[in-house]
Amino acid sequence: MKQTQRGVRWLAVAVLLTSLLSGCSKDNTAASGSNTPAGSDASAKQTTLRFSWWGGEDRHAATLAAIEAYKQVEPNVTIEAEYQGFDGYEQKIKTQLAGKTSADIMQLDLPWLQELSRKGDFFVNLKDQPAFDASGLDQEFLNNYSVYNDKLIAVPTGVNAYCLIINKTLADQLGVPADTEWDWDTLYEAGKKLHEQDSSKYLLLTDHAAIRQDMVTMLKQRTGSQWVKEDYSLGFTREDAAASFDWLLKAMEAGVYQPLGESDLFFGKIDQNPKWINQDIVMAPSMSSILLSLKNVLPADVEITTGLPIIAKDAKDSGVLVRPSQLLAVSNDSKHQEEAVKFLNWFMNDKEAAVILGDVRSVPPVKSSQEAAVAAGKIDAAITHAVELGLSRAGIVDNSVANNSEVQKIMDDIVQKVSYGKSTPEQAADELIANLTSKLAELKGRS
Amino acid sequence: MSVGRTLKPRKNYNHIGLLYILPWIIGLLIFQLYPFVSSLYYSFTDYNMVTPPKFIGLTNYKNIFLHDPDFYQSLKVTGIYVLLAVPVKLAFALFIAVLLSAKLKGIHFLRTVYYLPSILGGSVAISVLWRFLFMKEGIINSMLTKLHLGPVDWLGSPDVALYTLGLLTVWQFGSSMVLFLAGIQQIPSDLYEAGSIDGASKPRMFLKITLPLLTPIVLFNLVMQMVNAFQEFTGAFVITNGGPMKSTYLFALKLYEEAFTFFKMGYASALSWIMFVLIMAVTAIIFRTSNSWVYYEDGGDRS
Repeated sequence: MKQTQRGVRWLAVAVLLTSLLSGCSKDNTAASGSNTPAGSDASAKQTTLRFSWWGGEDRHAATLAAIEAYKQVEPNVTIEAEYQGFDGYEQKIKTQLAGKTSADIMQLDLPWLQELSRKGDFFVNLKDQPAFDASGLDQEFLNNYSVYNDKLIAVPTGVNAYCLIINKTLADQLGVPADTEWDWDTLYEAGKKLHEQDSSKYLLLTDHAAIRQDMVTMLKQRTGSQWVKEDYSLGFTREDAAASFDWLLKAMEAGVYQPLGESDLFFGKIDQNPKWINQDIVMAPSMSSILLSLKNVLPADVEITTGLPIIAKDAKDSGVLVRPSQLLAVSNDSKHQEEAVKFLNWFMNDKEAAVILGDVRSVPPVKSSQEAAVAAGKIDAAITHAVELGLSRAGIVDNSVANNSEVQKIMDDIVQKVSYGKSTPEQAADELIANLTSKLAELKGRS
Repeated sequence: MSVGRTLKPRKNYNHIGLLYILPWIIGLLIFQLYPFVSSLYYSFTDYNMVTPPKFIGLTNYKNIFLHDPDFYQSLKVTGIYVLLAVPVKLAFALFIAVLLSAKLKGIHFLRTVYYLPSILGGSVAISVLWRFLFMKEGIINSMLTKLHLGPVDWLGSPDVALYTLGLLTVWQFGSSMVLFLAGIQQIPSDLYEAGSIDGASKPRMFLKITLPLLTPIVLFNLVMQMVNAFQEFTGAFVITNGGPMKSTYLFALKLYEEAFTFFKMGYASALSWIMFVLIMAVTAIIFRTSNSWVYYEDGGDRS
């Protein structure tokens, strides 16, 4: 009797557990069903794509408008927008890619693409996609930035050039020349003079990433080569590094830059820096795609122009950085790759899209799109000017080791020590070389 | 004949109870135990979330202890942070709780007001607000300048930034305060009457009656706040991003950076286990020393 009762109880337990599992199974079946394309209804089937990007308000508004326009092209495709500022975007994207929950189409920065292409096969090879027309794009540009292991895994959204974004109205008021070609010495003298006249004013808007870029640029200009080479060796000497840091220390002390402690509160969001908004800073060394963000926070009557970034006297390489503003890629985990590629093709090649988007991702790289946007007056002349200058003086192309986040972090750390006066230029040079050597050996062993 | 009848054993209902809590058990197993155990495994691999993890023995731990100066920097920063923010927070919470335990008109409103920062929590929005309050051109410096006391570089100075972040944590003392308030309410009033009859002053009654009887709650608050402080992340990430010069580079930031900036999941798992061991050790020390300072009215269960 007892035996029977106990059996009945455990049977009840088993039934309940089975029901629970059955419920899960049913859900899975339903989910699978919804992913199976019904052949006869394929052309009329509703498709939802996720599109992920970072940017400022202008870019968000224009991109949303483009998504709206695409509804007229493909009524059965819905694009879900996932947009935010730059801060934190990289972490989100990498986590989603690793977890296979990424958007179908996503905007990426070049260094991440280089890193990710080494780590795995995340993106659709657009060469295999007949729906994507790459003929309007410069092949050398693609080969430099979009092709990895002979696969075209992303498309540049625009041509970005490192430049000086200049508040010309303020520069004219303060007697700072707005149309000159700077070298590090003339820049230092002008910045020092400006800060001596008015201690609330600084010549350059920056954060530690921008200073890191300046230091890397200086090294390239001194050596004519990559600061970190593709074979995991250093491309500069101790003397090169010490001279660069010496300039940085002097510039910080003289007030050429806003103190890093203040400016770094706006790391990755320099347009929110009150010193720029209150027009206490004249120029921002930055990528041209940032221009609109920096312009939009200033009064409408302020004139913004662009100029070449700083090039050393006797530079062996200009160090002028030209590269994709961002890149767009289609995830290999996308369940609607064909539809995603079609949208990407429209977004990049269609004249209507170009007119809607204008210069929110800098100058369009497709010639016909560029012409359409210019004709419609949708590209800021200052951005075009920056890109033209950049292309005319472009320096060597960065390699993926130099762009590695751990490598860059080492320079970031040294830059901060020098900026805060916690390290002499010679100590900084020694530490940079020691830490880089160690890290590069580790990376080489890991690759 | 029935005199010799054996009593039937009590029916066993364990399986029914287990069924009722099954959802919670499943959640525990899936979301707590599995990650806990798998992170220990990953800490012995070079897992980067992309390629399959490859076993590398103690290499991650060796690299952390022998080749990573940032590890020691994050330990140092976190240690200072815990040692300052936790005691100050508890002291302030207790102080306010004593004040708010008075029988006054409008006291409930004041209790609510003081609790509000705790409800707001250490969220991103509050962190952004803190940044704007304390930056060089912020309202705090505006007020200090008017008083000829400023400006202070609250967030931009490597010597000051960590304390400014600590202030944000201390400001959220409401939950500790509520626990202290509840404890104070439970202290028998006849003890105070006896003290009053014997001529004890208020400070002396606080030291001899209130504080000893609150020590179990002090212990609870101390452990909870200490554990949370070791894992503090949001303020340091949103406001200062570990800067300036890594002066706010808390352990959780180090962990985050290795995991989500560098994709070094194995390494990050090893760091998280080191944090776990560290917190366990500090907790054990607190519990062991609590024998000498925590008073239980019922004598505890040690007798």
